[in-house]
Amino acid sequence: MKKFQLLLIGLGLSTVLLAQRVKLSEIKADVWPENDPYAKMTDIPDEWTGESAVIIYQKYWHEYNSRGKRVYYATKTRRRIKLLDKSAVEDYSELSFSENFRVDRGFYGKGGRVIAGLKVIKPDGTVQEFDMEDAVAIQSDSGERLKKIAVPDLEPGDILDYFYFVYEPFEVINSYLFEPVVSVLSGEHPIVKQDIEYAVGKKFYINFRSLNDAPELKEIERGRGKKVTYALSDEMREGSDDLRWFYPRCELPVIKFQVCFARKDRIAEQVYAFLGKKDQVKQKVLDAEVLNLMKSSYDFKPTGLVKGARAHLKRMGLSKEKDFQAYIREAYNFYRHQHVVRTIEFGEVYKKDNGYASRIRIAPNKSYRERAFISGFGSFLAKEKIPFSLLVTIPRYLGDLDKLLLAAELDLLLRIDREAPIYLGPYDVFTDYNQIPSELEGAMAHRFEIYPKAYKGKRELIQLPASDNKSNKTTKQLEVRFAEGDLNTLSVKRQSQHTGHVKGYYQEALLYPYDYIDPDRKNFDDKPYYLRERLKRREVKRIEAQVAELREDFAEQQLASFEASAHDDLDLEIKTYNSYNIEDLGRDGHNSAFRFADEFELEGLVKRAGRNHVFEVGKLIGGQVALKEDEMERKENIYMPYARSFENQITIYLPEGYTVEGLDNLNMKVENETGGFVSSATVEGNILTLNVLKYYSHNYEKAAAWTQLTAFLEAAYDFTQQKVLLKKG
Amino acid sequence: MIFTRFMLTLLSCACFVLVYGQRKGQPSAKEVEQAEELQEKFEDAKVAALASREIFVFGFDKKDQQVTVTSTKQERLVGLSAGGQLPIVEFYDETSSVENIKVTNRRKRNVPVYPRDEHYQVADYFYSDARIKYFSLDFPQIGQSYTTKIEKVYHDVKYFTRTYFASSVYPIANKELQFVVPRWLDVELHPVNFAGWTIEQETAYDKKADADIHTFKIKDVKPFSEESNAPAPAYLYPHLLVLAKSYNKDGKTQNLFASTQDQYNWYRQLVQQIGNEPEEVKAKVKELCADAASDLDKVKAIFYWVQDNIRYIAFEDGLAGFKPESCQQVFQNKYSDCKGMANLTCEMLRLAGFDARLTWIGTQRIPYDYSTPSLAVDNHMICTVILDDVKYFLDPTEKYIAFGDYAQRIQGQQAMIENGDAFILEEVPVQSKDKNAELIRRQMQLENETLVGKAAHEFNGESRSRLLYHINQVRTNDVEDALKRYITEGDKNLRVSNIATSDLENRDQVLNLSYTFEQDHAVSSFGEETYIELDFYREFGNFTIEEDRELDYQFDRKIELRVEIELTIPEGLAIQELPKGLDEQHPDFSFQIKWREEGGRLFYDKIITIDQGVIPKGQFDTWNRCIKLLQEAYQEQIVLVKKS
Repeated sequence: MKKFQLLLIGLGLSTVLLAQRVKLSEIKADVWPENDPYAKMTDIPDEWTGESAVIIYQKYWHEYNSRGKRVYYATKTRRRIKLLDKSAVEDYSELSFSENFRVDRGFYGKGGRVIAGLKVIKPDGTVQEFDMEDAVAIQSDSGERLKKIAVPDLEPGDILDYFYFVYEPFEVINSYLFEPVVSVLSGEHPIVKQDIEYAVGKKFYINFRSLNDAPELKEIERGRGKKVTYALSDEMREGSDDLRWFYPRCELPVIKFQVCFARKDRIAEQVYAFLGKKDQVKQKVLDAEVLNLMKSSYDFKPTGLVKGARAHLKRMGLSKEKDFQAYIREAYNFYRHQHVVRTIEFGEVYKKDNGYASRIRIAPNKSYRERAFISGFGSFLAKEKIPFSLLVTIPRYLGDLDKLLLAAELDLLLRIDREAPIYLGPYDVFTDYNQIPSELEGAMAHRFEIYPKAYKGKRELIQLPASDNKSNKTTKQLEVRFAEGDLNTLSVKRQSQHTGHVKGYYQEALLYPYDYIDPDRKNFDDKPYYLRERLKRREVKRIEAQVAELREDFAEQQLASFEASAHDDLDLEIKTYNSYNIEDLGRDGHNSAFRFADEFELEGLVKRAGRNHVFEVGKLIGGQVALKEDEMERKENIYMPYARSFENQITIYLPEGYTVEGLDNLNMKVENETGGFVSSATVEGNILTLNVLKYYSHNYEKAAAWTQLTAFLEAAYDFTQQKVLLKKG
Repeated sequence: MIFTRFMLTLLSCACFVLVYGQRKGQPSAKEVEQAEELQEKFEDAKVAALASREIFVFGFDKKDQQVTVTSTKQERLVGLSAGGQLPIVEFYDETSSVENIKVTNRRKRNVPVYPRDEHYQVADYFYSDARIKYFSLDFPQIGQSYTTKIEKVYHDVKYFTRTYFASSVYPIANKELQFVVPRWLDVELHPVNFAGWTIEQETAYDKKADADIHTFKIKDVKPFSEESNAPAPAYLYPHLLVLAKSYNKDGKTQNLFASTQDQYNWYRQLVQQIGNEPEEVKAKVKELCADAASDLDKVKAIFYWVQDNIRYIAFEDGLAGFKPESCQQVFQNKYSDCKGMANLTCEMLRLAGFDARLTWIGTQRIPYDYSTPSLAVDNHMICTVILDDVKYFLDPTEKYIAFGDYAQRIQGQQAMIENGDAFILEEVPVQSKDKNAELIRRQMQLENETLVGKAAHEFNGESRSRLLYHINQVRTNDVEDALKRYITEGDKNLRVSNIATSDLENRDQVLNLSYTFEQDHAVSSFGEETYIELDFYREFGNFTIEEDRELDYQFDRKIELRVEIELTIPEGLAIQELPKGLDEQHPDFSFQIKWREEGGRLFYDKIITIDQGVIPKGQFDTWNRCIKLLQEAYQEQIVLVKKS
């Protein structure tokens, strides 16, 4: 059962929060003031009477204050929501909130406080306030200590008016950057009115920007001690639903903000952020600021790995003069091994030893990988005197580059500057040479030339290329035979090949650590971590035993993963899954293919019809997008991950003594600007061959193109419903 | 490199722990051999208990004047494969405490463990006072062993109701339960499910302690099965119900639960402490009964109001786990557990002038009845109303259940009905499958290659309450979509419109759902022949039971499903051949499909029943064979050909 949990963004207080003790009465006085203009608001607009619940009023406060090294952060949320049906009552019938906690911020977190309050307003205007002290302490499934209260006497038509206050004191040595927030103003329920308020002390920097017609933030008060209060007010916001292929932050009203504390101005300059002036809201980032941030963050001085990389390339007999692409690819793979793959086995053994993943991050996170890549591989390119540039952009799901506000939004790439540029992105196990992460494709980017003249050469704005549907391609070849004497069982031999962006999904789902650790180790002449360190023989033996078990575990899990993947791909029950064979890991560049073969049996596609059989042959291409009635019309633009294509070559050996009828319906051709679905069916002797291609031409389409997209999506779905007749001769 | 240094630090920590384990707990060849033997016996287990001994010593707490029980569980746990890990969990609550936990290695040296002490979150419970102390043991090598010793005290013997031989987690090669019962105490150790197991029993007298020592031994016990939809463990595994009847101290005999009357007396004194103030609910009762034409209507109005307006939130908190909340508290809060809801229902009915009684009952998870007085006998409370000398059992926690209908989970269960200083024992009537009947009627004809027609569904009993509950949970603006999803099961080929239902609040009448539909891709034409698939839902078509399933399969209700489909045969076409249908009648279930052609129409009648809502293990082969035949029947297409 879904229960409502008070997890909210935050707040700013008008009370001074420097005092250690925060009183419930003071919080209440702020949230529910005596002359509260919203206390009497009980009605909702007529157009929302059919909703499940309507937010009559909500307000978020965020307050940032400091004294010396101590920072005080308080957030407060008030929500007044009218529950209109039983479902909403059920959702809000139990409220849970965190207990007091140890603050996990800054150099040293102190004891954080949580205070919550709740009122129920009945339709006759009676107000009942509840004492949150009655809440019982529980532990959530994730181990978090929570308090929970069952809201009494709650019925459809009631208004719930609650607040949630979090107070977080912590100590900072130099500076502290609060988490970035990029949030849409609409939510699950419609909102009659909402306010957001920030009160920022004198040592704080605030970045804030309203986008996509979101209301602007205004300064409302400049208090003593340079404390400034800003506010945003928004009204009549419709609820928003989840939509297929949609990036809400690109189209819906959205706010971005981040706050930074720095004890001194010179310290602020060292923070990885775009900071403005302390008592002003920073709303825009200039190109020069992006350049300066990069300059101060990456100097591309050689790192220790350059020597190792060169030695490896030499051992491989590669030279950049003879085969430049092979040289760079191998170097990229070398760094990927050093920075990512090499640490994986340790993490897995640790997990096996302890039953949980290491608390200290064994698998490097995105920010670590990005820094390691830009500094590490950049310095290699510089040392190798290869002209290259640093590309700075933001992912498509956050909007355009000109909407940039926060350093946390940035994604970095390197580009080797040649006639056919080579793009390189931060490593991960399955990232590839010459591959731009799909979320960055087509985005605008700053280009700063790094070699030969670091940051002093050319600077320009470029558009990153987007890969086409032919490079992001899934090809499946199926050989289908009817079991002897049992037309209902089909034995399938399948050859699958995935290239470009589509392969990542399959690699993540199907490959297990030793699939790539072993070849990497061989290629880079590396040893397991327990042989690289000076460990006692007994310990090495113990780890080796663990590793042997891990390998067995992975083999078992991999078989199940392949079976599950076949099931997902085909959207059909697999009767028996017999075997699989990985032929190519596809880790040698964007266009290298992840290839595997497998064999399994299917049933349920053939239905007896008197002497003959009806064969649901269309289902062999796998499940297709099944658009619902309410999806047929669309007003929003269409954001897809990348252009892509899917090709099926299906060879069916017809059972002896049968002919096939009804192939006409299997020949389809719907092609337009946005993509297409093309299929053909032919028979030669006892072999029925289907060739089917579906492709999406772009990663983005205007809303007006939706009917073109639905045209081939509907054709593809229709194909899966087609049947042929196996006629007894 | 920083990273390497950091790895080494971690490694050295790991080494410390593991080397510790190895040096002091290195398994001998014999121990490894023993572990391998256990592994053969318990194939899937990574850890087993070679020996597990629990001693229960009954004592007396003079201060609280309570009979207490001290349990000491000592187990020798052995790793059956390298890398095994075992969580050791001990439960306690307000009536018990975990006093001591000790772990030693094979050399009897202490192994430091730091148990965590946390609330135990019980699924579907808003709050429970159950807590756990837990830690985990690593078994890096086969044969690695530890001895655990856990001491727990039950501060009141009432709450020590039963003990199992099996563990819920790991297999046990040798299990021993020992009860040290002083002669001043009368305790019956009531064996349950002993049949079919070899359990050694012996009783000795300890003169010094003036106590009888009852010992039970069993070998090779597998852990509780994790199969879903299975009978509760109390039906399956041997265990002992501990029936503490009375004690004699200082020449005085004090009854505990010597008889069912004693248990009732204890419940009754809790009920007498409730502090009901029915005046506070009087106005509501008056309002509900105002328009009621008959006594029955009044009872229904009250029963349904509690169902609809009091949310079920389960609390389990010490004595509050047995004492109902007052009617005014529940009325005010609009939420409660089963006891509070039963109490409110009773009080409201009494205000309306009815004879309503609180009633204790064990759901079908519990195999015992009140002939064995114990708190383990019941786990639920309902209200009984007596109308014209007939008892009706009202369970307001069952949402959208009609008056006179009983949920499967209480049918046939013995209920203890309040009756002043005495009590009445009576079984809740068992209702047959037809009470839950679900009927689907579809009439259709061919329009090009689309089946077009109208459909009507009827739901009764538990099939009705289930649908009503789900629909009433859906957001107002999503009800039509939810009904569409229910009808089409997400199949894009089935388009429905004109959806109509009977009153979605009314649980007294048959629930009707009707609509018109168009179904694509159910018809294929090849040359002069047309092939049609009539049965859209194909219920149970994939419901095969896994071959290695060990336990009966239980549904949440008895099932009777009828599907009647009528197809108008298009002019100029004739049915080439009628499929032969299906007729499989078995004591626990049946499958029947009949085809007939009459007056230019084709009729398809399907009946599926699961008479008691259970597929017994012994019937799995028959069931799977029937499902295979059902699949074949579903695969059959109707062939229409041009009339010659």
